Amino acid sequence: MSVPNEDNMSPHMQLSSHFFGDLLDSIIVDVASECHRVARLGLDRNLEEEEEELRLSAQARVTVADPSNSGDTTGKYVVDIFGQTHPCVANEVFDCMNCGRPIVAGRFAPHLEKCMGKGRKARAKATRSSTATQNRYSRGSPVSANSPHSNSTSTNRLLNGTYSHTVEEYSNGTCEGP
Amino acid sequence: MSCSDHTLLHTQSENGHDIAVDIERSELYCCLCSDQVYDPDFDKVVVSKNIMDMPSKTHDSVVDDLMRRSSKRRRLNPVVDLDLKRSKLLVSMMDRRAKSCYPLGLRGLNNLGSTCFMNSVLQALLHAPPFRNYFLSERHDPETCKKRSSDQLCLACDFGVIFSAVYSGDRTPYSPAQFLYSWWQHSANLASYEQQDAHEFFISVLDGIHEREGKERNSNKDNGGCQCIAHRVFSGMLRSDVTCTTCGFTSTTYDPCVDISLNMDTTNFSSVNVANKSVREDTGRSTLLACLDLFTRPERLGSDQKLYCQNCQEKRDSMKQMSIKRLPLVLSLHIKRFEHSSLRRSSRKIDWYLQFPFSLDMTPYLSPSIVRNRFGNRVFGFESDKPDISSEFEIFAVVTHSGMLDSGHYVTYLRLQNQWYKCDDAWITEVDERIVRAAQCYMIFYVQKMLYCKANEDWSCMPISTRRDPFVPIAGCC
Repeated sequence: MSVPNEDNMSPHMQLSSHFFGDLLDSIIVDVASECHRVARLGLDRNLEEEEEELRLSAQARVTVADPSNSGDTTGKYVVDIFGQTHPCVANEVFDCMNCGRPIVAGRFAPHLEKCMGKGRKARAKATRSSTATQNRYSRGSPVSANSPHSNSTSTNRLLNGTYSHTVEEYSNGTCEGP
Repeated sequence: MSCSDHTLLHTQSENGHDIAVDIERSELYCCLCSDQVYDPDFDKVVVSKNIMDMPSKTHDSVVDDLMRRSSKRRRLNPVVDLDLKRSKLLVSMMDRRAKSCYPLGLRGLNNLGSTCFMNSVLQALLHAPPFRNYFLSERHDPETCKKRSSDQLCLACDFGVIFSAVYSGDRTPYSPAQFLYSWWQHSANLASYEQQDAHEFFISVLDGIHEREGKERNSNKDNGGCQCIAHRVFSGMLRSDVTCTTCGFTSTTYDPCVDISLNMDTTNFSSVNVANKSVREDTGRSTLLACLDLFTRPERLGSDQKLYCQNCQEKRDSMKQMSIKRLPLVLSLHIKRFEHSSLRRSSRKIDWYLQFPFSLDMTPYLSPSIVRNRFGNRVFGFESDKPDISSEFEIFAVVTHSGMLDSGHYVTYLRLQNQWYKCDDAWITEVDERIVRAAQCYMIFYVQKMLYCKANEDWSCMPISTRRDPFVPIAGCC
């Protein structure tokens, strides 16, 4: 916005232009004053460190996204740092502490569920419908964005496994999920 | 004081009149320094004038907050009696079969059937320095525990067993079956072979430890806070200030917390129009600090959330602001990656990247910083602004989630002696730190810097010696 030539302005316009200039200056000084106070009293955050972290993270993302980088060893057929390999389904066998029977580790949880009489088959209310799923998510009091931490858990759950999940070992050695 | 032109002239003509006052902003200007200057006494006067204008009932609380000299040096956290010497000896007594020179305590956990939610959190807890030191020093004695209560169920005892197993030097993956069994007995509502949330598990486990240990250790109420190991390590205090927008009266409450759940700053996501629908796109610029800013930002409560104002004596529209009153030894941050849409009656996971730092300074989110900022950053004694080391944190574990809302996988990354390890159920592998930085974080664990440094210098790869003669070095370890 160009400043009109003062000589060509009417006294009325000159006055309003002058007021505008004053207001603008005032706003600028407000901000400058606050920032000056923060900087001078050492209240500002350590911006250099923060920026360094941001830079490292950005760099990391680029490196990881590059397909030419072998990067992370994914898949469960790798050798761990101790030189061990493990099957997809943990094959350690131990006795169930509820019933005493020997159980394969990788199938212990589903066994224990039935053994303890818990879980969806034992509980009458559990269903597989999507409405039941939604209801589970929406139960509990609404949590506002900045509420003090409460014990509400139902509204923010990231789940693992699937309903009808059984761990299968595929012939080519890759494993399905957790 | 009338205008900037006169200010300079006045200084020149009158000796000793070098200080000017900006009456609009209540700031001091020194004509000799040609700069804005600051004085605690002046600021004190300014703030007390502001307080005078507030409703009288606010006086006491605000005065307490601001006028009290912050030479109330924050009482040093009663650091958990770490007893490092004892736990060191314990380590030296352990199994010498450790083949590698990787840090002790690095051991895979078998997936027992969709239990990666449990394994991921266990790995983080197994390496939380004060928590680990407590159990390795055998401060929780199973014998005394059983004597106190005939009830066999004690998650702390089970933790003790896991710690011994994981730090024994045996590197074959361990099956935390007993722990699962105990936990299902404790959290009956969560006991089922199906989808589970790692954060829910974490809260539930700490609660379980508290229930059992809390009763025994809290007989002495003067301790100021629960003395169970779960709270001593993880518990901090949040402060909530609710301000009536009508009269300005502020009421303050304090609530303990074992972690902080943070919303992702969805305003950082740009809206893109795709096929006439507004779709939010990940700009890749979300950061943990932005989430913490959001957490401590003043929030205008909706008109359906009117709160009772003591001054007005009726329900009023209010503003709320959170801040951290006291930091825990281990700071656990939970990222709410869940999004619930009331419109579409569905829920989904926010997969977007969230940048998080390895070194975190929590000072800006502490109550003194937040409250001071609310009052224009007026200072009351420069000594109070010395950086407090207990606000500095270092990351030691990240729990990441990949996949969908109802079918995904948890993996934990651990930082031990400046090397990152990926703990994917039974598989422990070394990874470059860039993998971790680029990962999708779900729960991030930080420990106070002092404890982190201690933990990493004491737990360096040491030769494991025999029980009888701890000073005989044993070859074979790097």
